[in-house]
Amino acid sequence: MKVIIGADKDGVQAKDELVRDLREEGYEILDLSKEGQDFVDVAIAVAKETLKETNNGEDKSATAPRGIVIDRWGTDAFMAANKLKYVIAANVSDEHSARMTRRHNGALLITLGTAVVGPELLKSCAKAYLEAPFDGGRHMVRIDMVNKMA
Amino acid sequence: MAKAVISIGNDHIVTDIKERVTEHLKEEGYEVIDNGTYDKLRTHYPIYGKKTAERVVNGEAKLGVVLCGTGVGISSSADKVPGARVALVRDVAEAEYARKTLNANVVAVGGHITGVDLIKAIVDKFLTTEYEKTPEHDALIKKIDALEGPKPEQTGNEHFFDEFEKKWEEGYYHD
Repeated sequence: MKVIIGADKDGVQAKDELVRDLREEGYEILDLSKEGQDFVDVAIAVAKETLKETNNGEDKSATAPRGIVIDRWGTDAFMAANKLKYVIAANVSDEHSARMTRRHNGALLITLGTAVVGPELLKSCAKAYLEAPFDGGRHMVRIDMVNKMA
Repeated sequence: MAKAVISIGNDHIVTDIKERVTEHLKEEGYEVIDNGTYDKLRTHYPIYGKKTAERVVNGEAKLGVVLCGTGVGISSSADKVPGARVALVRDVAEAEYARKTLNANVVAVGGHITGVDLIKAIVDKFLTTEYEKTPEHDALIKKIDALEGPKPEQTGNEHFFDEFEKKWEEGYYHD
């Protein structure tokens, strides 16, 4: 699976460690982090690329690309990314939310804040999200509703 | 004398938690607009996320609170309301940061993730923290606001989701 990832200056260290781990596990990584980017820039870059790779989020198959954004708090990248049509982003700080947001919301990307989530927890949240399937079914009606919102 | 008006909304799986938070807010002196849902009948979080955030943006309420299982679905829909700045949090520090720095006007929590006492503490901190106005913070908010345009068909439209509710009733969606 391809993972589209980005971090601002507060997330870069955690991002580098996560990228190394994910590569070892066989994930394909596209790292969009650039120096001087703030969390809005990075959240939008990851969201747009992930949208593009998933046909506006429609591809929710087990192998569909997913996005991960790491900054200081996670809330700000979350706030910015959700403003884009077809983006369902989740700010998570526990593995259960990370898993459930893929299963029920089909989240296109997750945001993680290094001020909130410690290094090991961050990795296990990322993996829980990447390994989770999408449940579809009744959850699709809610996703269709969210996606109608601009 | 009531403090401020708070707009609150939730989906069917956390109605009991919403009621406990609402009761707490009333005890604290807030006036609460409860946008539903009001029972445990299966319904859809975007309806309540949209309603709750719109009441904040149009000035009927000062701030908003939204809850669903993980908080994700309802916060994502609330954030798609123009003018809404939604923070999905699991702790008090993040809630405080979002108010202070991003002037977040809606806070979201996962009713199945975060314990009810912590939810109350998060909401209390969110409602009592003021935006710290600086040129840097203003610029950040402007940058986030620039991601959205006016949405006349969506805004205030109670029938916006009708087509999906109809399909739901007709059994189009099933597990």
